[in-house]
Amino acid sequence: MRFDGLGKTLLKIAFLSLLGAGAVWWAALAGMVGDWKVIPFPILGAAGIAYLLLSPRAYPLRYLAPGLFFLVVMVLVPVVYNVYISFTNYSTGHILSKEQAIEVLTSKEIPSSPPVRYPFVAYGTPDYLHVIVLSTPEGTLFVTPRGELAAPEAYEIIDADGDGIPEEVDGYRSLDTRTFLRAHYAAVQRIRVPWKEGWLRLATLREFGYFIPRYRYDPARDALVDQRTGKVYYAGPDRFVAEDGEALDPGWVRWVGLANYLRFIREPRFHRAFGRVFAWNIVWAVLSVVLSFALGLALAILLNDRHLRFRRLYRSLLIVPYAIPAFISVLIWKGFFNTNVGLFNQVLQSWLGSSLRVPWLDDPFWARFSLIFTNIWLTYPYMMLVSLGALQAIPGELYEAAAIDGAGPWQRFTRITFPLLMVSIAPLLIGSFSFNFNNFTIIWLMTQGGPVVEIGSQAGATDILLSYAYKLAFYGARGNEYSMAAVFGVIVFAIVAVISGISFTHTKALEEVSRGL
Amino acid sequence: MRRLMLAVALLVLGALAFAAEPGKILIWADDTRAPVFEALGKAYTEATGIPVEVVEVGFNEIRGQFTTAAPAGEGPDIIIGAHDWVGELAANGLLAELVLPEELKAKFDAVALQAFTYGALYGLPYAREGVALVYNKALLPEVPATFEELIEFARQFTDPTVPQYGFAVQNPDPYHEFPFLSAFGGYIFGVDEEGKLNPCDIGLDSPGAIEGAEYLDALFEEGILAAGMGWDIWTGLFAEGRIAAVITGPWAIGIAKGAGIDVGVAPIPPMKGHTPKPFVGVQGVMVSAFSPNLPLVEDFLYNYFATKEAQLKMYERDPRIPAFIPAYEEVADDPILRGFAESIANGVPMPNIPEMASVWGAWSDAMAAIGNQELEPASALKQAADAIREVLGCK
Repeated sequence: MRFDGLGKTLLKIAFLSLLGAGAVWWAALAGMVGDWKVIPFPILGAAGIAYLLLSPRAYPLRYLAPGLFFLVVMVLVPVVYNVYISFTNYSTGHILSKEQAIEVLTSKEIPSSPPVRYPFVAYGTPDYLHVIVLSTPEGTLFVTPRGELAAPEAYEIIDADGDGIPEEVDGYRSLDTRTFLRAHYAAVQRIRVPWKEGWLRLATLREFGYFIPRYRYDPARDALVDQRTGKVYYAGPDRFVAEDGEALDPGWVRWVGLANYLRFIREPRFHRAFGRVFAWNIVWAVLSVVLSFALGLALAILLNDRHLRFRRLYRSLLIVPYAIPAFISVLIWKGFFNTNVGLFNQVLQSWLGSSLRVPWLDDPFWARFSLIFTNIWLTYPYMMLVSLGALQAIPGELYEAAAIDGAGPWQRFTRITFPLLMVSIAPLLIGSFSFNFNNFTIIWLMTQGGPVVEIGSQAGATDILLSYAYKLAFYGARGNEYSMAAVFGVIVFAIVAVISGISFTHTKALEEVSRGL
Repeated sequence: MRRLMLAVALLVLGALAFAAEPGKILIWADDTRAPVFEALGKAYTEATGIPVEVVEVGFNEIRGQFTTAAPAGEGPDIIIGAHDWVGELAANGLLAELVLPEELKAKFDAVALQAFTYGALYGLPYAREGVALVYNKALLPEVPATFEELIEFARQFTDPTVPQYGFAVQNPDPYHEFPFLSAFGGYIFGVDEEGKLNPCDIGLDSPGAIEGAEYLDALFEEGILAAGMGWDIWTGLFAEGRIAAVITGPWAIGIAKGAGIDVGVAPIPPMKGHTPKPFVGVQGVMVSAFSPNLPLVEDFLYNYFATKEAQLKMYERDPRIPAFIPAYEEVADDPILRGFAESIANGVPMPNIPEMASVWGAWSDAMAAIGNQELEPASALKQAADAIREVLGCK
């Protein structure tokens, strides 16, 4: 026993030492690349794990911590981030910070045609860059490693062959291109040597180029000045705008408070469809759950009957829809439902004449019907399986007692089977409701929210809130309207949270039933 | 906040090594193109000593991940992508402008370069593609000289009860139906005096677009075209030899050939004497505005990527029509490739401005309503154009 304890302690210490070393290394690495915000994470993480393993009081936490960690990373962080985005203007043209937008705009250059290029030679060693010498038509330029022009007199030059390109400067020999790139590229690429109206910078592997910036930033006015036209673009709330209204891309991200929520209320194109989508969303989730549960339960009761022959065979066959990946079966159903060449219409036509064509996916009512039908097919095996399990948990004596009391099959079902079943199955139904409320996959694969209700409205007849939000996020006005989609995300989250909350309170009442037994 | 979130996400994924750093070229390419860049990168490293790293990213992931990663300084130097990403990425400030040497510019297909232009050149094209008339030679030995003759043939051949169709077009699908609209002068965005696309000049309800849609509508009404003919359905029928001719792109050739169909490719015949103009899509490479390696990247792209040998390697790996003319000339004797090339020679680049994102949905709705005979073309297109004007705030 004592050895075991000692071994365990040693192992623990070894593990924690490695962990600590790893955390310090990680933090140091982050510090080296300048990511200061990252540093606390490995340090706090390692400290937290050490506390969990060493403190006896934290013993129960050891088992909860991994779950809690992933809860935070996979659930809480995205929720918080989504809420945060809904208070910003994050969308196409507004994804950078203001500093980055200014940096991008002021680093734009006016291309000179033909390009002005000056060959250069660098002098130094692989560890030290002494000077860069540019040959220009106006003479030789000496550029220090810090990007300043220096007087040629300051250098001692040896140019034995007299071609204007020194062999040695201050005793340093010229570097070949390969060595220069490997050793000094990172520093030299940053250099902008002020020159005439613009700057000189590294343009190719062997040349500097002369460039004129397109915009200059004037911090006093918080404005950009176009160097070709003199036009001034003043910083607006989220982008630079000239007096005539012309705006520059990119703009920047900013906090807009409740503006997106107000936009949702004010702009008809967002809320016009909301009521319709929401109503269908509820109908879709409720009918999917109720009908697939009804079918699953009916089949479970049938299969639960010991007098039924080939029970195992039926059960295996009935589970098949559950075993086929939904991605495949939904696409197959979609093919069946095709109005012109689909299986259903072909069969109907051969029975009832060729004029009959049900617009399975092309008409709002039929599209909703087809979707619910397909979803029942996909989910009833799950409902059947959980019902089978729950049925077997109901004690047989209850039925015997009921039979003696003279209860018929229907009474037995409504008074015994169903209430007792709901105790264990109601939470699953609530889960299934939440899942179907956000069942983006089947909607997207089957109809992509179609058919059309109103041309140009992003919500089709079968769009649920989530697919509507997806369309807003990725097919918005100028590409992506992440912030408006996030508003929808928050609304969906609130709705599902409220419905689930109410439902769980009500299922407590069901538990009373079993306690009464 | 966002930077912090991204840092956390990247640390969790251990992806720190994938960030651009000075002195090393980092490329994001999909699994089809990555091997070519790896080979080119190796050659470049041998010649210059500059390391080139290629990270495989799914084609559909590249745009989104680049949008998140580039501003945080975690993105690559070069991405592979499609020209219709250019407007959005450039509006977001993520792309570097490229200045092509004049002698190199002349070697690229002009439409392909135009496709990557959004105020300035933001990418180097390598392949172009678009739709043409793809036909089953066993059912339609020769492409008629006019579209009206093709309709006449389809009238005889089509029988939905078999089913067999003389002519098909994927629908509702604005991309494939656009040649009908463009033939009669329809357009998406008009061009302003500087040659830039004007997002408030929406041509979906222009007289030409309506005339084209009416021409198409008549085919649906007569039953020559089947409404709701999606990709899965028509490719299945075509592979069974039940469709004689279809408007589609190079991406369908593999399926047809795999089914043993002898396919021919030709430009879409003129409709009432007007030439249909399909959308041209262009694939190419773009450079991050946050790349510290612009001089290296330009050197790599202009001297190692924009060469006949490199472009032929790209073609072998991904057989689309090369945008680099010397490479195109080398492979132009392939009849299928030539058929598509001749078709898109009439074409227009698909608009690359970010406002295009708001066009697809409304336009697709209108085309569905036309195909289903729910609305007359004029009113369907008018509604779509008005909805787009509302979203874009155009009066």
